[in-house]
Amino acid sequence: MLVRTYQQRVYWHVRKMVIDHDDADDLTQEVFIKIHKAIGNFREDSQLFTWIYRIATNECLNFLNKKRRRFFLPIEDINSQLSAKIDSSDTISGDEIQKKLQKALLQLPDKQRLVFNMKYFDDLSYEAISEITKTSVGALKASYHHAVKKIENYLTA
Amino acid sequence: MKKLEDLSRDNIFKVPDGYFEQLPGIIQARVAKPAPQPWFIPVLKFAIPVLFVAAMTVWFTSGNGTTIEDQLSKIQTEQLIAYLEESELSVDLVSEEVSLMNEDDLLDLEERVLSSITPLDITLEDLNDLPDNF
Repeated sequence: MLVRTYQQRVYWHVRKMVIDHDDADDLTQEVFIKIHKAIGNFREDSQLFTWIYRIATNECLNFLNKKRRRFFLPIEDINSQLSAKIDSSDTISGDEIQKKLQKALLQLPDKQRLVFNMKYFDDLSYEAISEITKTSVGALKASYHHAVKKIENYLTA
Repeated sequence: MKKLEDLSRDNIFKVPDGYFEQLPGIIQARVAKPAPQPWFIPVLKFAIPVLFVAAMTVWFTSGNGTTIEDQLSKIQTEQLIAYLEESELSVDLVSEEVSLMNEDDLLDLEERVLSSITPLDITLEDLNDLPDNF
């Protein structure tokens, strides 16, 4: 029941971060297995969906960090790999400008990209993002503002 | 400059057909399946009892963890006197045994006795002061 309710939100949240469907599939499964194991620790004082988002967010960040460490790759090389997938993957559609937006997002630091995705695509409130990322609303607003500027500069370059 | 508001927010990512219909079943199956046991668990199942028995053996054979001094201190003085009186070890017996030794045996005994004595850290000055202190 929990999986059916939240699977799409979790999957798309993860997919936008890792780009590749197989990676997103693995991570989504891991997220729900962790949720299943930790559901007893869930405190009612936070909303269930923010708690689930937080687990998914942590899984994404850990995955990207591990990927860099495993292949001793700098951030730029991982971003180049993911950019190439945007062009070559048969599970990615969209016009050129939409693909360019996704490539622009890859230029952002992981956490800033997460914040941008949650605000721009998922339309979450700053308060909800604050609870998920454990970051102040002020810092999130600044982060989003910087992200928008960087993306717009990239799109016009 | 291109504004973000002008862009479509449509999701450009896609999933294989039927993916979200199958995913709950896949997750359910993974949750129901017991997690694979780490390789060292079966080893530990055997190693722990063996180590326990070995540790208990060492503990019992080494005097329950006490030193010889501790064990001796628990023996009553009367028991010690009775033991020494009953034992065959006496100065007379040792003297008799020494008197039967040849020169090589005596040299060997001397060497063993000297090697068993810990040299004392006594200076000539200490020795000169000895009569004054006692």
